[in-house]
Amino acid sequence: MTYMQVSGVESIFHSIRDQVSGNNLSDNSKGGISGGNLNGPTILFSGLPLIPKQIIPKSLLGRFVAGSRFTSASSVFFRNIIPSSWPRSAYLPKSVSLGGQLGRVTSAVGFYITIIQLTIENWQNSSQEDRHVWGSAVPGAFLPPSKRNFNDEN
Amino acid sequence: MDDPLFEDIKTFIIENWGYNCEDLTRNTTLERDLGITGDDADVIMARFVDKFNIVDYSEFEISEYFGSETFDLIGPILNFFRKQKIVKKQLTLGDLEEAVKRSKLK
Repeated sequence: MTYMQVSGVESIFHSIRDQVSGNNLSDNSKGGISGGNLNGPTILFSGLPLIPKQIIPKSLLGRFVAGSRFTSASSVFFRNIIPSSWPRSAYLPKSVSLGGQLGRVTSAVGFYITIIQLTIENWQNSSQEDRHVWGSAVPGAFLPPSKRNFNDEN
Repeated sequence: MDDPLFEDIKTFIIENWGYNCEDLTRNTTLERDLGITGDDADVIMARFVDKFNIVDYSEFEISEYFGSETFDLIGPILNFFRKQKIVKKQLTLGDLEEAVKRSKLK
């Protein structure tokens, strides 16, 4: 048994993988974005500054909330649930607190999940001929056809 | 060596922000040089008026100086359709020093 299995990290990775690929979702939400699995776009839009600050209570973002500026749902959420005294991460975007850093990285995370979802969806919906054409991303794509191990060739 | 007040402001910026703070002068701008923008600007300015006891900030319109939270989609589109374009002002450390001296931020 590996360290990852013992610590539960492996199950977290599997959970994220299943969410992204839609493996453990109900039937009507399988099949990627067109099938209703909107995890990626939801995370992406929650990180975009689409909320007018005028409607945000001052108790959530401070006394200077005013004017024609916008904020994101993720920024308001993370800044209010994570104490500002927590140390910031050197690997996240610049911000005054860890909550702000997470709020700013959310749209990028949503963007990449959306791209992965679209790629998986395209791959699942594509024909075997299409997979041969853009198969450079597939292990074994550079092998001669007789050596490739696609399911329908067995 | 700058005067003690400006040193206090520099210390405040280093403690509360900490990025790009190698060479702080009175002409250093908060948004363009230091990268303070969006919700961070709200937080930093609120801490600033608390620490330096700025009592009057009623005329300070923060949206004239700082943009929206990063990756602003709406702002440039709105600005494109406005007849009178919004040109953002820049708030410098010198402006903050003046605000502390006058106890008024505007």
